[in-house]
Amino acid sequence: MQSCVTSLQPIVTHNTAILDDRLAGNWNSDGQDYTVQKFHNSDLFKELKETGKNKDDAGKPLSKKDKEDSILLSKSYIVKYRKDTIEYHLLGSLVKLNGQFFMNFMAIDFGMNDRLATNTIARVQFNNSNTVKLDFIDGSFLYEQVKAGRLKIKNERDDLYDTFLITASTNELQQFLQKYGSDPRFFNKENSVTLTRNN
Amino acid sequence: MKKIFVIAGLALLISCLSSCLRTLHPIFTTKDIVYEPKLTGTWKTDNQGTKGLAVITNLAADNSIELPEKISAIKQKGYLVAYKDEDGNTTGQYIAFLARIGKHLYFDYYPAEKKDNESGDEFFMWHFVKMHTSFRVDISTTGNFELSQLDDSYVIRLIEEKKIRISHEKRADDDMVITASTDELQQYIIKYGDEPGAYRSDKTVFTK
Repeated sequence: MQSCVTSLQPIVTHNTAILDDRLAGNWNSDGQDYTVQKFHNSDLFKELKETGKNKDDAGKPLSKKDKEDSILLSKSYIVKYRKDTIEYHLLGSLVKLNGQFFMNFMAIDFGMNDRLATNTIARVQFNNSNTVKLDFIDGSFLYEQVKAGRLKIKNERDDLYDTFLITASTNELQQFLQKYGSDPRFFNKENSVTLTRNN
Repeated sequence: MKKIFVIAGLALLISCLSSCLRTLHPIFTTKDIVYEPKLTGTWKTDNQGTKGLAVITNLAADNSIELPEKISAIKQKGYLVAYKDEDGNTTGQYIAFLARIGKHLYFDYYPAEKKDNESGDEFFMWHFVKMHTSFRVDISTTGNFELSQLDDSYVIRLIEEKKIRISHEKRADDDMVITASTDELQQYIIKYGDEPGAYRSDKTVFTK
């Protein structure tokens, strides 16, 4: 892949996230295996339960935000894969906008203090029960459009360090996807991944 | 009980945050850069009893680091700071620029990555944006120096009490991200640079 758009805010909220039974399972793309599990069924969730890191929260009343987070997680997936002996986890949350599916990905990491965790966005196409195509938004194209003033979406850009981050709200992001979700200029072959279900 | 587990999970899903001030933009422009050759060398570091080493070299001396194009053009004025633990293992590596802002000198740190990056899967790493962290640099007459790191809780309190206006965004997890421009950051530093509370209390002392 070339480069993905990174967004400070997710495209999905607790009340717009949806589950789709076609996502869970074991997948492969170009020789790389991926496991997709509903959050509550995931190995990571089981690990969190076993480590008992919830002790401090036990018995405390849940805030509105806590409840919303719980709902979002209950409607999200864990994408797990292994590369060079390292296991990676992403939180994937699906949303349907204008009849199209989009997935918000957030990396799960516990120790990168000098980096900001952000979200990437992919259009999801279920070709059949055994194939899923993920088209990530082309970051270079979006950057060029914003830089040239041809597209307005809230962002932060630092030219000295070549940093570009979309800071639009979830609502603005959803509007953007409704407008450009079918525009082929925002998606290209290099930013696409086709997953095939392992038998 | 099930919900409690889930909440603990979400908190852990988000990268751990320390109390250092992390900013999206650097605190300096190219005209603020100061280069002090005497800062280069191998230093013993001490942060509240945690001892280690720091190797500071001129940024241009190391070709293995991936540099943004405009940073590459000014690399002669920059440093590469590598922190090592007592066993000599590198624990962090930063592209650093020293800048005079108001009365004081400051270091702007930015995570450094090798060109042949082996620190993680490329796709996974796309989900993280590198942030700047900043330190006031106080150089003593002996040549030793200490770093005082800007503290985020001080800025956040000022924002919440509506005592300053500085650009920021609230993330979905309610964490505040400082998106202030370099100019805004410099105004903040000039105004609060002498406030002890604006810095973390744990200074790092560098001695030869």
